[in-house]
Amino acid sequence: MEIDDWEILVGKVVKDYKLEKVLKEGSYGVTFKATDLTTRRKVAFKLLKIVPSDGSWIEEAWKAGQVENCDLVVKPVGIIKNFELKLDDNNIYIVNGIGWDYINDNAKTLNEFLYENSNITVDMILEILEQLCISIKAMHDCGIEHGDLHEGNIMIIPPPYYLKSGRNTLKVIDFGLASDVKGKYNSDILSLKKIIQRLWKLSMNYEGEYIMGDKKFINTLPQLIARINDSHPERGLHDPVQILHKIYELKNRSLIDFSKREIKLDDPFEYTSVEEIPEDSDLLSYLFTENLPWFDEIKTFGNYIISGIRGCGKSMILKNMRLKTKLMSEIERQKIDNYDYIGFYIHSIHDLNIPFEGLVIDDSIINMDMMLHYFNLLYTLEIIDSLILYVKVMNKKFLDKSKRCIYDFINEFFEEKGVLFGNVDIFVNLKTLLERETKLIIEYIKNNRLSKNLTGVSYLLKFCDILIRNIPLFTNKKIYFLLDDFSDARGIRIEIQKSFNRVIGIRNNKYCFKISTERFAYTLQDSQNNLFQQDREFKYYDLSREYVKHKKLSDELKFVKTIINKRFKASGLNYDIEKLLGNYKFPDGNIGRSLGNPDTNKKTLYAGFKTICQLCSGDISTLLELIRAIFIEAKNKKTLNVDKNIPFKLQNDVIIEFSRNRLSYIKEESKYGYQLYNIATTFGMISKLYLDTVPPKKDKNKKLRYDERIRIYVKGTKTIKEEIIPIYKNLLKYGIFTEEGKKYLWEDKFHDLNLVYRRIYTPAFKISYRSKQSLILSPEQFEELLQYPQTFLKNGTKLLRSVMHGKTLDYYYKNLKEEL
Amino acid sequence: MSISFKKLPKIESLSFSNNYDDIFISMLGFEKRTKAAIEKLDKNNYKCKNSILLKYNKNIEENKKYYDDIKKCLENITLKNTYEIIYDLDNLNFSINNKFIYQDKIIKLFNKYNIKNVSIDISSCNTSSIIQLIDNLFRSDLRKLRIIYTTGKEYPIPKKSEFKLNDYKLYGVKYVRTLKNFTGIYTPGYSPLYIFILGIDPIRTISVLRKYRPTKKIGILGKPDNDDLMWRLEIQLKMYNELFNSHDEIYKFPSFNYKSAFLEMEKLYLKYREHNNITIIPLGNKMQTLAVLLLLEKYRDIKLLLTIPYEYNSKKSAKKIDKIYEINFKMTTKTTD
Repeated sequence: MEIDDWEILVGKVVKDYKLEKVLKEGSYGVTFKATDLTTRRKVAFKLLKIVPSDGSWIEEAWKAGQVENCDLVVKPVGIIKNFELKLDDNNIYIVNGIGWDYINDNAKTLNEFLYENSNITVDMILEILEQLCISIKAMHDCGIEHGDLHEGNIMIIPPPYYLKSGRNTLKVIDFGLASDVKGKYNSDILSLKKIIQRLWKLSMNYEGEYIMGDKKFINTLPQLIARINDSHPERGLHDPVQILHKIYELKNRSLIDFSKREIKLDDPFEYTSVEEIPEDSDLLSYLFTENLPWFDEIKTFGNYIISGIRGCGKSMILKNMRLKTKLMSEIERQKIDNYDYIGFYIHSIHDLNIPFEGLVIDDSIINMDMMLHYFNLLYTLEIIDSLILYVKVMNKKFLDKSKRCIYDFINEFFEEKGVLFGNVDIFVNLKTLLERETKLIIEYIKNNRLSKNLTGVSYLLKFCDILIRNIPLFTNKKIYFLLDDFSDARGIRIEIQKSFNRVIGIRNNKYCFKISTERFAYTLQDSQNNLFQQDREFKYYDLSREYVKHKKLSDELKFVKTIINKRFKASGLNYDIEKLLGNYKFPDGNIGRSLGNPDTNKKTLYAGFKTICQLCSGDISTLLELIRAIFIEAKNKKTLNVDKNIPFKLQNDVIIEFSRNRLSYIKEESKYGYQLYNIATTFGMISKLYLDTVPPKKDKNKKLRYDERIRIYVKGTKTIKEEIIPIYKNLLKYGIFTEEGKKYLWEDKFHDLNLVYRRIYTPAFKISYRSKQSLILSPEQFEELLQYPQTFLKNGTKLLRSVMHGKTLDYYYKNLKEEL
Repeated sequence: MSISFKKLPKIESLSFSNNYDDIFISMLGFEKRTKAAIEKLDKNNYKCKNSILLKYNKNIEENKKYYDDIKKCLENITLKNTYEIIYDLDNLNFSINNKFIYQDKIIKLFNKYNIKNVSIDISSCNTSSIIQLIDNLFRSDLRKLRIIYTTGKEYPIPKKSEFKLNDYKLYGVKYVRTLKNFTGIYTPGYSPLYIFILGIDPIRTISVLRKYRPTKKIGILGKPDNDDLMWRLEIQLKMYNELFNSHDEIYKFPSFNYKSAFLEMEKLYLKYREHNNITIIPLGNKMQTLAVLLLLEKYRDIKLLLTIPYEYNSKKSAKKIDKIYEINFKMTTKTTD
């Protein structure tokens, strides 16, 4: 007889098996959950709908039972052949089937599992593959092919509820039945290939967005797929063991590539900008020197805003507070336990700006919440990645239950929960999941979609608490979130900053933020309009100001000397920078007098170690570039010598050319570049006019003191005119002038401004780089300088007006314009 | 419909054997070559059912120069309607909700007429319009796409020292934008890598470099297929060497043979993709831009950045026309690569 509804068999006893529940019906059989009445064990009884006449299926099924040392294959526990099952008084059904080890009430087929878990990572694919290969190999060794391997014959078994750190495992069912029962046979290796292909495609998409899978496997997994069963004798992989070896190779490749890199520079001035220094080397910490006084203060607990012109060393400080940087250095690694903080770093341009560059993302509350969510995930990813590196480099271990605790906390915020599979390390898996999630959130933000599980404002505080409680590395340490280049000039818009300020402004004793930015480029408000107060919510350091104001020139010279000589050493050169640049003596004692004195003006050069350091004060990257230019020119002219300084005339020529180039770069800085350039050149000309036309005075030693005016003092309080606000802000943001006040400037009004002209521009005008006198201006005069620099040049001050009637101004104006 | 990356078509001289299209698209420009192809087609009795004339919202006065000539040719070759559409360079900054008007109109036209065969003259197209237009055409239900390209000659060669302050204000970068289909896939934690396709005029490259100061950058210079033009490459090398430092790379890929340029760019991409988030900034010529488009079509993780100038500098354009070429893409139902 034929049965339409298999439920009628539930409750029946087939020989020793009492059928309890229909688990699954396939084309060739129906699987019941049953109890073996003799042993009281649970079994999965597969009743065959089609039974081959030769009875070979029995032999094949028993073979599966002989598979040794492999728990991944479900084994047969009994065979029932031609059992007459009485359905009622008139009907008897002949039952043939196999009793299998019962897996688990919660087990699912791989098909069902994939349907429920869209957050599938490549780590998980590799784990599934590894277990499948082992199962196939174990079966092949017993002379059995599965013959019908597909996602419906692979069971995924969840961990028991009481095992907190448990993972999912895999078992293959229905071995050996295909060829006999179905009369058709599929190569297991080909089936394996199809399964991988499907998994790979699934991993490319997540929650309806194409995220393109895992970057580290972008090439390798499709290559593996292509090689499985390839007919080419050298390329083809036909054996599960071969495939398994390839999988292990992929896994090893995916681990962090950490190998000690030698400190070596191809040339001493390689990597003049910190962004260029490779992060997987110890160069970052080697090229860093702490011997300037403000570093110690910045390292203390508390929010710090660090500003200063580009290249003044802000990023270098932050990167050297980062755990990853310390782990890369043999010396720093040993000191990690001694530090009272652990730093995690985000580069705003790379991580917050580039993903959205070129798109117009509106400032809606939803978008800002999504940006905050993304920001939280970025730091989470950085933390987990750093911890993986820490374990690897320091050869330490964290308890699985601690890792699980962190995993569970983060997993709650994923759009689709991640699952732990096989033996993959919890943090490694978490890192992959976090990478996928951040990619997904980027796509969501681009497409104005909202995440289901936003992390929110208090997330980082909670996360820090969990880290401190679970990971011994964090015991008695503060967590520093290092946020580099957080500036609207770098594309981090004010509304985004306000959103993140909700997290930055939380007063707590677990974490703080160290933010590098530029003046006016970071807002002190959050999105609820709460205002940060200096010295309450944050402390402020402007590195350019610190260099300019720093009293001890000897400290600065020592600092520069250390930096450059380290570079010489790392590139195998035996130079000393102080010797190489020499000690240039100004013809009339100092630069101001030498340039102001008509007799010595033409003889005066910009040269020597001390002069160069002062020209680039607070501007390390410029200093490196300038010394590089001198070094290259000296090399070309064959004047490099360990024992002699580079000729001063050569130094002077390079410096003047360099200064002019720097000045001309201003025009490209922003859309106000043209106006900024005009202001910078105008001020240079004014300074030159004062130096050349103001009669010198005598100082205490009865020596002549010329007018060295590279400072502007604006006396009074003023809200800047709206049309020149961007000019004013960009003037300071791009470091054309440095403001000497201690207050972090971010508003449109000012009170008593003290501005110092960037010293590297001074050689272009042949003026002094010392800021001895100030050009004292009223706020209105200052505004005129910003708005109409050409007019200001002619009428701005008494002196300028007076020389208007003589030839001096035109003479200088004409000559300087031509020179520039 | 998709293109076959394995069988990219050859660049051939403009032919008149297949003299009918469903639609002909042309862009109005200020160079003489804007009308060269259409005049030739007109003389050889080419016809199209409908035509589109795209007009920039920049250099409007200069672009009027050849308007009447083109309009006349379009009237001759078009059997039904000619549509004039503004290509609004200031409106590339679409948000996803705010549809780009030009794109909207083109797509509506395509849907309306069930278009299968298209010819597009890109001789006066800028980088963004080449990428947007051809991408739209690749994604539509076409059978055949003919790209027509008139090469120019007698270009003035700029030198950096010749730049005037005003050049930056007039022809520098006004916006940096991306396009909806090419926003890339960014993986946090991987270093950014900027690939610049460098043009003969460095003004926009300089602006972009100053803006981003990328950690690692690669410059691609166009290698002329004609030895007589090698001096251009030498000038470019001099101009760009100072903008690229020791650990940056500069390559020379063919400037006219888009297929070779595409293959070379692909090799570069494959070399860096595992460790970098790649952004490509096309500032080169039209054939190099076509190669970039193919790369973007094939690899969706690459991000495109376009530089939109305040105005285009007509003084730096070609004075004369050289030759007219065509590239015939036959579309397949499935991507084959």
